[in-house]
Amino acid sequence: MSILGSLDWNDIFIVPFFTDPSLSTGIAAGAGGIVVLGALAVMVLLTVKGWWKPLWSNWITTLDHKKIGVIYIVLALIMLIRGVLEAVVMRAQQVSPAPGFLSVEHHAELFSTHGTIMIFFVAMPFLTGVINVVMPLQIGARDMEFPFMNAVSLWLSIGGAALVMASLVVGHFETGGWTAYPPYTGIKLSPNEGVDYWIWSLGLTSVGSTLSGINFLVTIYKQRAPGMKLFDMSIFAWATLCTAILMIFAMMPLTVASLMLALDRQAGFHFFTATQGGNMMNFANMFWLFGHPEVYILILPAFGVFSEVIPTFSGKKIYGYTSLVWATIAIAVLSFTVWVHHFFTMGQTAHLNAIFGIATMTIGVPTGVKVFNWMLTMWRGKLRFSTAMLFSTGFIFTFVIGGITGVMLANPTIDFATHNSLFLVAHFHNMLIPGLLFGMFAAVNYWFPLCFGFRLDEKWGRRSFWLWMIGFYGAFMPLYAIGLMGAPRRMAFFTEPAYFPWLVIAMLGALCVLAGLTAQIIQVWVSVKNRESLMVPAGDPWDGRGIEWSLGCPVPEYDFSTIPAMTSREPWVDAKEAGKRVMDPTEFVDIHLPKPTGMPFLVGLVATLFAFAMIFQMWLIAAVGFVAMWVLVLIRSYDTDWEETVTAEELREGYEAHKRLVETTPQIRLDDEFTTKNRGLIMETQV
Amino acid sequence: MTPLGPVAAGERAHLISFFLWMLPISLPILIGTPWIAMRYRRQGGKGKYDPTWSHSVAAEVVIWGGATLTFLIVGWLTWGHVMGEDPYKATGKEPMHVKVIGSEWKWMFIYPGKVAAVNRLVLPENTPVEFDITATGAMQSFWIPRLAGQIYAMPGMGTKMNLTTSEDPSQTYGFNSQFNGAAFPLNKFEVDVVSQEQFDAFLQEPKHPFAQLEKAFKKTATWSGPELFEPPEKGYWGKVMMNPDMLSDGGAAILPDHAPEQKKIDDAIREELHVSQNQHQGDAQ
Repeated sequence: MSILGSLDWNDIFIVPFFTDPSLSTGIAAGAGGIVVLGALAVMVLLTVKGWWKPLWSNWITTLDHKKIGVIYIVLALIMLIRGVLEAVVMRAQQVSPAPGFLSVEHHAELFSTHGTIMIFFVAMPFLTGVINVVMPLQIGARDMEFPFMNAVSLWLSIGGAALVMASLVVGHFETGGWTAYPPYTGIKLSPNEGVDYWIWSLGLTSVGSTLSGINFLVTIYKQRAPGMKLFDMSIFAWATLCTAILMIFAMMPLTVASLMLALDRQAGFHFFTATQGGNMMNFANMFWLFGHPEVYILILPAFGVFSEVIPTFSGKKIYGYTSLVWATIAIAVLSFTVWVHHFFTMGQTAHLNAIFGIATMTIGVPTGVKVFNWMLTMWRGKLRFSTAMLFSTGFIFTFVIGGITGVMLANPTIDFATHNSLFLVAHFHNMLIPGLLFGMFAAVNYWFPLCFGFRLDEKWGRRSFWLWMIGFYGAFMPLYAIGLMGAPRRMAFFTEPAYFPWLVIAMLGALCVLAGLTAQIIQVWVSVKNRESLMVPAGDPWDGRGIEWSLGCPVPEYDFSTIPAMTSREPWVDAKEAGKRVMDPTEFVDIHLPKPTGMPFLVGLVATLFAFAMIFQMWLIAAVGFVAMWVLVLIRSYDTDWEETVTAEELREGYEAHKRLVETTPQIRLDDEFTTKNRGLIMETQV
Repeated sequence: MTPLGPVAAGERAHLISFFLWMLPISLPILIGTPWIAMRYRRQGGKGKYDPTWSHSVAAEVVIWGGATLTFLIVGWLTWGHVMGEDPYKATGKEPMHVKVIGSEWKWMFIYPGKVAAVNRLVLPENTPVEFDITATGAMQSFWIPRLAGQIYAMPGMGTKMNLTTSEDPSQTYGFNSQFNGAAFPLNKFEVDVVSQEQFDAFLQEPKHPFAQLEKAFKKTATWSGPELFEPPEKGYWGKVMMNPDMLSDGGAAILPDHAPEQKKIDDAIREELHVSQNQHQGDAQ
């Protein structure tokens, strides 16, 4: 076998188009071309502008949690663009005359990459990024507990995403959906490298997510500001705590199941084959043992975001703090008790189905309580509908519809008639678009100034909200309808004429979502262009409540010049009510920050090389990559010169400078919140 | 879609009942959220502002109580529904038995001792039927939407589904709802519910030898041959369940990458579309 393993010319993206020209292979070649040209264009831009060096020293080598968070979010947005475009192509396929312009196999690659990307390379990096930026600032920490490991997690996730992108250029992706059930994904029925792409891209990112979970949890346990009890934490920090526990325990079954599938495929094992003692039901079991907690990994951080955004823009304390915290804990615990509801149709006993169905419905109780808590937070408030608040309100309304269909699906007898149908597809999009994406969009609009010092453009933000909202209803309400008529998911084309009008509406909805995404790209572009007038250097542009808003924007690398004194649950609100405009400093002391290092990037790079070699069975290269990865970790472990000191004097200067800036910033009324008069430190008390 | 049999009718009734039971807890949110948004908006809202109001025992009791009560109701109903409509429980005395084998991309139905059929399921009206289901190759999901919900068909595994056919003769279809490769859209079968006389006549129709079916079933991806065959020997279905490769070699014989097979699949899809369009035109007339 050659050193290049199973790789050959036909795996290169444009070759199939020349050997078998059709619209389907043309689209595949075009998509590969976009990836290659896009990468080239970025490299040319970096070279022309001379940005290689700043990119390396400010971003790639950074161990600063805020910058790592930003890179995660950028990754999520790039992958989101691909995911949405794939959705639009699939919708176009289904409204074009059957059998459409895509082959069944090509369509299958699209829904498989769409699902894999949206869960693992949009949702996961998005929430990991937001947690990275916000959580340490909310608990009064200066960084994550393990900043180096944090960067390693990041580069492993990017490596996984890069492999999925590479599958457009070299070879194929798998066709068995994001769940990749064997025996269809076994070596006999899926002999090409597609499933291996799925296994190894998930392998990288699931290890990254496990490490992130450990990092978040230890940071919350060990790095809280002195005096901050767990029940003094923000709801977002609580959501992070629960998410981190889920990440630690839930990612492992996925890592293990996918590696077992790899052994089945490449080493002749029989874990999941139908013969020789294998059993594919074990895969479904292990996959959903990960998959169901995963749903709450995705949704809890967004719940945390809404619990921050809604009180701020209601000008009011959060309703029912204790209730919300216990509801979050309850959801996290219950999330491990319901996974069988993903396969009620597997032929287990009625008792088992009934117990898991009812267990599923119990999650509705704490979730319902949370929704009412957000409503009661808005009740008797003074609501300002910023982009972040619009996404939060839109979430409450839309999420409830998904909740109704969720309880319906939890009844096994209803599930028999809706499983594997578009009704189910509509349901989980109805949970994840409002329950995850809207939350992350709200988070970006809300906390953006902490990272970059300026606000995002409100006009384009609101436009993007309405487009997403209308697009969501247009794209998914029709799927509920035809799902109930018996339309299965993952179908390349339908011959039933009754579905057609609904599919057209869904197509228009998907285009509307695409327009919403475009509006967000324009929003960022316009905001960067007008950043001078959107600057909020004094910080706290929304009369916020968390201690992260006591800092100037952008937040300095060391976060807090002195660790804040936690005298209550909302010390920043107390300070503002006492007429102060900066928090009183505690004690200035020398602090140590980790030096920037290119090591995490290199670890990610060789890990990706290892994974790519495993996909194409280049055993020698794989071995080299694997050894290199651990050698790098070893070298780092013996490195003793990894910290740099920020002196107490520098911190005091930073504090004084911020104080002077705040004192010279004119105080303005909340009515001017979204105008260029807002330079930070906006306050209701001035009305 | 309109149910034809009691099982599907029950599933639809549960669906509607659950939707209605969810309304008392959901409508307050669906109506309340826009109402609160209007009433308490900063500019022009009429609501009273109370920035420190953040707890109310009465509200907590109503929220947790209301959610728990809804849960208890739907949980109680679920227990009854699941126990009442267990697909493993026969829907009547002495159900008729049909053995099902799913494969890429065709279905074999064995009426023990009587007949074996491919892609054609004929059942007598108003009769309880028990299906024993397995598969070769990939995992599939056996679903006749207008008669009953689905159960997985898995290689190396046997599952069961029970239903009662429609009271009068009817025509519908069943299919595999679990994606399994290039001809997935063709993976369906006709279901004819007929009178007892017609059913007896069906069993008497001329048949081909089973060996011919077994040989062709292994090699063909999409089925276009004859539909009726002599029944296999007793216990054949059980043998296939224990050793699914004996009918398909794990499905490897019909790999989609295999060019001639792919062309056959494309032709079959075109053929199928042509047929179904004519059918629909016929329906319109």
